[in-house]
Amino acid sequence: MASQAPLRFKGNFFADPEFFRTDVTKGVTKTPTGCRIITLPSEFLIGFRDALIYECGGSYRQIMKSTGRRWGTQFAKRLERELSSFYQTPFKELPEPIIRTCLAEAFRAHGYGHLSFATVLEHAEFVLAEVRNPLLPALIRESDRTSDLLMAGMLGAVLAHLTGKPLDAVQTECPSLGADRSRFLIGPGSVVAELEEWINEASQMPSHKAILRHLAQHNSLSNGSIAETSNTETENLVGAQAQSEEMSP
Amino acid sequence: MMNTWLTDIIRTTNEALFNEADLTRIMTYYASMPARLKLSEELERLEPTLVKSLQTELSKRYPDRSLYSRRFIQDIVESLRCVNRAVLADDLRLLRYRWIDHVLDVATAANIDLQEIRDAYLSLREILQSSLPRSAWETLEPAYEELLDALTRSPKTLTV
Repeated sequence: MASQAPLRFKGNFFADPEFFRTDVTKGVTKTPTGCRIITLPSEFLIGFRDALIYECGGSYRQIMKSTGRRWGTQFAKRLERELSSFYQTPFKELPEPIIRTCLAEAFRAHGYGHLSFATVLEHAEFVLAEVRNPLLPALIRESDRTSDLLMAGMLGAVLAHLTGKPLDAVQTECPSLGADRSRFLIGPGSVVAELEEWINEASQMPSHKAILRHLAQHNSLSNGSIAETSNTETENLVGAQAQSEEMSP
Repeated sequence: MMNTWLTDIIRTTNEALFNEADLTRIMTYYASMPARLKLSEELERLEPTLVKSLQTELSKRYPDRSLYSRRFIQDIVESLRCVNRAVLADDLRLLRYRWIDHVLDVATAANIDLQEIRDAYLSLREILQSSLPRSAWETLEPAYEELLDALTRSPKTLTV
């Protein structure tokens, strides 16, 4: 996602009173680039999730996440098309601060919540994404596990598409579990898969800090220098975590 | 002044939809439309000149600042379209949502000193003051000052 392209200031592409324009005679809502937008009400999302649980049992989690991944890829393609045209530069080639800002603006404009990013551990290629006012957790009041599987799949797919790397995301904090926001770790798909497995095997949902600690240990193990670096890595992670919390309003 | 026929239309078709304060605001807005439209025309006419003038001015004042690329200067001058749109709509929220918040977010994420962006706008203000007719500048000034004020405030701590 990083680029040497010059920084541009073109304003918030989505902050237009007529961004979502509805033709009431046709019953169709479109973006300025002609992409059709539909409103999925809360009842649909809850109904969809309940039907999946009823029909598929425990595997509904994989299906929800897979749905999110397909949604995220399509969403990223549309953003890429619209914003490349707006900036007159391929979206992926824009500097990272612009890409992240545009993503957050797109999320807010579409009603997906308030998205922000922070780097967790630079050399581990992990990014922490936070979503305030997320979709599904607002509808699922209580759960013993994180509930925003759609968003986890979506965020992983969006960043994978934009970076061209096989990225995936795992949710580490969720309002359905009492948190004030959703948090996701986005990183290499294979590491995320291992993290998910470790989380699923735990009898209780591990805390965000515990997941970060586990990630740090995994990172040290894969670097083959446990004895020398594991403590430092863990401290770095916790430090980065603290820094991320300081960034929050 | 607003056309009397328009005043009549607004008053006679107003079936208790607006109170007196709303009506006064609407009529003040319509009365100021010619000045706002004139400002739009002036800004459109001046845009190419503003880019050149600002480029010259910034390279003279801040020769070492790498931020002031040709594209950056073009973006800053084109941002006047957002300012003008907010002035036309008489709604500064448009300016905030469309431009100010975005600039603050990108600048914070890219670790750019807001003062450098503000300096560019300060230079542009001087150019505008000398290029625009007085009445046009007075129409633009409140929105422009809002923009400059926002660039002096601390950027939002949570950014992407």
